[in-house]
Amino acid sequence: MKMGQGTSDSDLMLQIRAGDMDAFRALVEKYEGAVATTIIGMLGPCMEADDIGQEVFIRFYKAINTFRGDSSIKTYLTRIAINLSLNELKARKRRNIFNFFGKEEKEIAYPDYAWSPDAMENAALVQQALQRLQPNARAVIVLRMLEGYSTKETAKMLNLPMGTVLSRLARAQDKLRNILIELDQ
Amino acid sequence: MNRTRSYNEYYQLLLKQQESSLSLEEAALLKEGKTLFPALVEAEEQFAQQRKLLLQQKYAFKPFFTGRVIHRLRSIGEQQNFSLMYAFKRLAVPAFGVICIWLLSLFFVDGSLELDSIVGLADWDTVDEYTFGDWIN
Repeated sequence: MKMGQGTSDSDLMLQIRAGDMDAFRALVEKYEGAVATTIIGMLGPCMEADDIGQEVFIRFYKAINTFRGDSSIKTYLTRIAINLSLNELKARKRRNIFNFFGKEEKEIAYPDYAWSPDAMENAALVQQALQRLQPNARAVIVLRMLEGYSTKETAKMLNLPMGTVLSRLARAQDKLRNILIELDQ
Repeated sequence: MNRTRSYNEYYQLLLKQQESSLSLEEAALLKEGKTLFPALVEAEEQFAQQRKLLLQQKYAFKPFFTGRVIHRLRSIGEQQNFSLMYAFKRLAVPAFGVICIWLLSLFFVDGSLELDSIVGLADWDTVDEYTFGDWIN
């Protein structure tokens, strides 16, 4: 049987647990878009994004026997992705402190991104705007507005009270609007 | 008594509206604000555009991402196998050497490799049992 988008998550999980690498390959293909949107939304199009994306799926594979299915696979993967991205942002900050006298790390954009030329301008604009937000604010925007999770799911994923998520979202949306207006001029 | 509200108060309601539903009173206030401040209508449109723009963003990793994940997973597995083999060799070979030297020295000292020699009771005699017993008592 050919596995792909049509195979249910529970079937995929059973096959992966039985050691079927093709099933794991199908799972990666199914969710790499969602993981990429979270990581690139958080970090921008940089060299580390791909490595962190790989790390997300490897951690998932290692924890496959402890995955109880309380949340969906997509939510679980997004949660790992957001945590690893936040860790990377902290590490980046530390590296920048130590590189105070040296060159600042620059983000390297992939030349072969799967963006259509029309979407390229908007994508670049959004990326620039997102990078100007604080990591905590960026995380709520990425989960709520890029990935389309509800505020309740966002709160659960970030381990935050609903009120905190709502206030962060309001502040972040306000700031993002101002940044987008500024960048558009 | 009605009081004049500032633009910021109405704007906070507009922000709240982005994620939560407003009460009837709040909705009426916001409506009133939009008639008083045309900038609020503009901001509302910008929020809607922003939401649409963000929802359109779909990013992708470099091509052949799945292949790279599978390759990395396999190389981790090989690495673990390699490190287990390496650790086994590092521990087992010297340990085997030590055991051989110990058995050889035992053989030269006691002249045999019987169980008594191995557990260190080669010279144990019944007389020792009495002595040991006296010493305890």
